[in-house]
Amino acid sequence: MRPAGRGPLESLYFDYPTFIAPRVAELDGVNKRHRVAIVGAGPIGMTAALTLAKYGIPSVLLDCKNTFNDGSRATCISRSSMQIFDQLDAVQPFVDKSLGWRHGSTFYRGQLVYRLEMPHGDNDKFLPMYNLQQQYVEQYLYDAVERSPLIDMRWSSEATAIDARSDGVTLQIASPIGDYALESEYVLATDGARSAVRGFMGLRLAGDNYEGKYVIADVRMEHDYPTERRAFFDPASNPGGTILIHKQPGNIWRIDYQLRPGESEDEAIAEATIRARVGAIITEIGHTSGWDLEWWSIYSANTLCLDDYVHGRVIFAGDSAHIVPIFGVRGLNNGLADAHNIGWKLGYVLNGDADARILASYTPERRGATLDVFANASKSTRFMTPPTRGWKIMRDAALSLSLRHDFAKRFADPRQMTPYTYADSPLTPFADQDREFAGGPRSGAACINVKMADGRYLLDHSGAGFTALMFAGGALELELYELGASLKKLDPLFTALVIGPTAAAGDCISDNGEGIAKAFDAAPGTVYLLRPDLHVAGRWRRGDSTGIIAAMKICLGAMPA
Amino acid sequence: MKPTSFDRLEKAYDALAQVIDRVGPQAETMFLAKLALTLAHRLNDDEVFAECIVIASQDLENSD
Repeated sequence: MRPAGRGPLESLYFDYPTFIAPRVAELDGVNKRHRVAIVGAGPIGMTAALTLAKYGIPSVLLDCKNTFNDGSRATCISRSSMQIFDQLDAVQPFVDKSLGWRHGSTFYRGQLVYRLEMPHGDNDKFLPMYNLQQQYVEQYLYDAVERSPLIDMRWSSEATAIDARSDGVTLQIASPIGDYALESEYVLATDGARSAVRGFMGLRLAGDNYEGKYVIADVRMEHDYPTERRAFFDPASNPGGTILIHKQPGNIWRIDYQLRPGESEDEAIAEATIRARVGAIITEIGHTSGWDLEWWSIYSANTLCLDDYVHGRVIFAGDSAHIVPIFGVRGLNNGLADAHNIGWKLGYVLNGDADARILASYTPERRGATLDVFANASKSTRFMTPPTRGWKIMRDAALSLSLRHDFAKRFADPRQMTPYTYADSPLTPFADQDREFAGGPRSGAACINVKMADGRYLLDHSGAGFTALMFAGGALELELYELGASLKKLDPLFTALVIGPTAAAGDCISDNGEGIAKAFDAAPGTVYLLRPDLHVAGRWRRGDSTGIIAAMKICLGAMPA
Repeated sequence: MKPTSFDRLEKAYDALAQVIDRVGPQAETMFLAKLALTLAHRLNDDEVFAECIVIASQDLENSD
């Protein structure tokens, strides 16, 4: 919502483009069978389309709107999401525009009780978190979509029905210049929390709704404070409630505040109420030089998801598959990981480089991530908006103790998003080998990065397909050469990264000082096999060509796990 | 006596929240007092218990 006198898209800082529905072949009676139709061109749908395009798979990307979404919404981008944008060659505008951060402060009744410090080291290419309004996220992804010859973007094109069969899917599309049927091999439903596709398929989200409601409001003000997460419990401007404040680019500040028990939603979102409540908060943080109200919305915390994300040839990703509380910034970031995960798998299947059985790993991996989010977010939510008297008494007790006693401070930790480890995935069944290592990323984990002597990062050298990190003792052993050749036969996009103490061979990555070997607890002969999404498929401390080739075959569905 | 790890402290937090809800507002004060007395009995350390009383007594103003 926006202040009276301003239209729904009249932003103080963002000029909304208006897109028109294209004249498409289907309207002229040409019924082409597309490879993938993606319903919903938000950040998740666009990331899925870009990931498919990376593997040469064309897609039709549909959105019922004629522009980007109406507000700043999901404003925090995690390091793992920046890594995804980097792999899609789309990260630079995000780095240039967003505000990176790694700290947070939690206040109880005006006193600092907890200082959040998210891990960040020289080896990390990206900061733990970046703030950027969602319109820019969509703009920058759309710029990449427009550059791709493989993505057929159709705005103002609404899916109104679906016929999902074992051999393909037909969507009925309504657009201002006509209605048509769209045939495709697969459909990705990335159409958000109120997914129409989910409704057509007769599917329902299951889980819990929480009581506490929050208003989120953006204001523009010249406010001098570092970019970090500020949380206020029981502040003077919202007694008994909670406030969160985040800085966004362009002097836009996000203020989230909890409604009082029994406060009516209609009254809470009236402009006069918003101005009074936000004004009191701004006064409390010491800002005195005026502010403009930009946009506001309301939400309540939910932990809801589908039992299965894959329904034949219709696959759900992002909010259409799961709705999570915002505390911990996992809505957008887990959705992006969904898109990237299904993107490479579907790309490999449609290219004929993997068996369709690998699609069955998508639900355990990504729904597993959602359930992990629920466990963390439920704790955060119970702390931010205690659902009952018992939880409120304990929350207030922990905050009161945390004023003077360190042992209670960690209750105020916001449990920010970290990438999920696919430990129980059918594609990464090698936990046994992890015992051979004293460090490094374990099977299923997102691969760590290492800064190298030339200023670049190890993962910059990863390929579009599977990547093997092969630690050599000097000259590359014949066995590793042969292993690389065998893996390349299985995956045409395979990249071998040979890492040695000196830059002996042409393609060898020099590991002077052995910083890379240390980070991976590697010895000569150690191999890490990374999937296209840079999660560890498996690792072998003393090599094992047969085992490594088998791991690749499992990931490609060429043999069962 | 070594203080508990945060994970175990968090389990205690969760358990207490749920018991407070179960016994209801009429009985919560009685429950918490009985719990404190039972813990004092099991703790068997006058000095530590006295310190705990001081810690729990701080910053109570304006509590609901």
